[in-house]
Amino acid sequence: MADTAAPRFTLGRLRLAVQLVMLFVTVYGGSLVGYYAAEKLSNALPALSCAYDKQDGAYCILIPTQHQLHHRVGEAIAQSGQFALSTLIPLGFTFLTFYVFFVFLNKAFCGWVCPLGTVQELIHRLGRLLRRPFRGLSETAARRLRPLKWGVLLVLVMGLPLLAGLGVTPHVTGDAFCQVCPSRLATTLLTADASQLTIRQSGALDFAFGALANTLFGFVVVAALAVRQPFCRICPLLALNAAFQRLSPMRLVKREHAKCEKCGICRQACPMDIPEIHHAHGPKAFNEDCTLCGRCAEYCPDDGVIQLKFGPLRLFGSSRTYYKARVKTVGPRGEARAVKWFARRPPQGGGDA
Amino acid sequence: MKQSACLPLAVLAAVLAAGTAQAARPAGDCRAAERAAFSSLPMLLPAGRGERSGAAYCLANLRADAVAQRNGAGGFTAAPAAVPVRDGGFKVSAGRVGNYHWLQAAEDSQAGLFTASTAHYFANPGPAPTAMLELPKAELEIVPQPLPREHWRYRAGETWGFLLRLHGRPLANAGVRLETSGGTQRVLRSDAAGVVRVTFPEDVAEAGVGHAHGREAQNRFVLAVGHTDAAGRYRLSAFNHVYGAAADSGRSLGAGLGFLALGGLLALPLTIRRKEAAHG
Repeated sequence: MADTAAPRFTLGRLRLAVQLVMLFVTVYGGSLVGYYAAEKLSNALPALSCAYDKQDGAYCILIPTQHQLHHRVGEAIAQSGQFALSTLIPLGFTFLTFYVFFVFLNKAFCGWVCPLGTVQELIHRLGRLLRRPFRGLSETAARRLRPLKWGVLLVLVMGLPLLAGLGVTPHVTGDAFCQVCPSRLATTLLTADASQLTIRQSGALDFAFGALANTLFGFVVVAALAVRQPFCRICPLLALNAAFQRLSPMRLVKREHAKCEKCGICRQACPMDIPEIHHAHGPKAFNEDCTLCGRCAEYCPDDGVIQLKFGPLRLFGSSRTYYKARVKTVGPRGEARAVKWFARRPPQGGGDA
Repeated sequence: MKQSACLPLAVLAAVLAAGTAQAARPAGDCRAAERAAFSSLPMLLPAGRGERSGAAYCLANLRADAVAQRNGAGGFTAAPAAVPVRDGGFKVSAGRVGNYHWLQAAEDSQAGLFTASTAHYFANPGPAPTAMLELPKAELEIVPQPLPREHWRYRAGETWGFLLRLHGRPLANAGVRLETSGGTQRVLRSDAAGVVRVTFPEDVAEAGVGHAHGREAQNRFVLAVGHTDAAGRYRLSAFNHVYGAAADSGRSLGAGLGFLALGGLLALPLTIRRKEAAHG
């Protein structure tokens, strides 16, 4: 008879522990790694670690991307009147630095490292405790939202900074995404710095950016009580990571199984409500919205159907025994059941039917 | 010293991209700049805005033939580059590597040893300035603890530490003079660890306060400490730099909180349980 006592160590608990450690590193890690930019873990991290936070341990790649498009590429073209390939070299090295990190964890930077992802997840857990309703996205809504993150990447992270460098748009658009990024507000508030909450009144565009940023942040914080990962749906870093996701040995693997179409628990467990994890298999199951959190693998009730793999190495795979034990404490949508941090094993000869 | 794991890549990038470097602008009329200086203490004052490839400076209240420039390329313990002074001014080149550049000039006369220092940031890849600051660079010196990092600056209302060192050792209980281009003059005192805590005065004009990466209004300050040793030798060291308006200057917390609340209100319906539809 299978032993289905709630396991002490689950992938979910391991992920939460990693998330909390990385939240500390990305928000307060300056005390460990150093104060200056050159001392950071990376200046091109594939997670929203914000440079406006003076105590951070790393910078997000979107910062140098915007600066280089603004100050190096755009301004160089504006001054010389022509495009030169050499202006892209610093940007190329920024992406190479990014890839050095990305190749190991792929989009697990979203699901395991990103401080804003962790903050949203903790707020959603609070929503469960406060018995707020669960609002999952329909398959149609999840699919319709998808292009937004690419739009944010192309317009706010790339387009406007480049146009600012060319002198087409105002200087304030040179770091347009940082102006509205909720991680800027979340991480600075976590260091007891409320200065980023203030809105600049020196110009209409400055004010508009500030108003949009604060409205978005307020929306994300409250919505996260009911909706899982509301900002991740439109996050440009998820889009950037998605552009590279096939270039890493770390990946999500799903094989075809006869029961899948009728089941769909994996989609219930998915914090991004990805329909493909339910309906597709093979490379299509590793969707552009996937954050490699591994919840689908945890909550798949069939052996070896969904796996997290690094190259040929299986890091975690779905298992019926694990699933039965896991749902005893937390349901696929995060609904807490009887919490047993130190579950007792059933007596000899016992167990469930 | 800790450095970013990817610093070598960034250094290589800068070396490859350095072909576009431009020559620094001439220093301009440094005598006029000196006459208009806000303080009679020794200073290195910027002449013009500065460019990505270099910056021009004037010496004020100090005479020297050369200025020592340290930029971290090849390590901060390496001998500094000697930048010649002409007509009271000098030009520093950004080079290809090194972001925090420490500039220092000294005048040794019968009256004593006078030193002026400042720091200039270029958008180059390079090491953190921690080792540069730890390295003794003058007999008597004022060492920022720390320097504002990239994209940050000293700001009015903020308190920053500066370490006083004499022959490389902390100088406790010493008087330090603060003067600003906004007209503030104060005398401060270092603590037992040799650190003087400076709260920058709210004397920056609000006009022109704009986007963080734009040209914000700013003032210049100079900190100076003097010391006479047992042999009667007098030394004076001064550090000058800029500080901006207060972080909340020209900003509204009320508006910020208002839009924050608006966002929360927009999301509120998501968090409210709807009544279950009655089953027929």
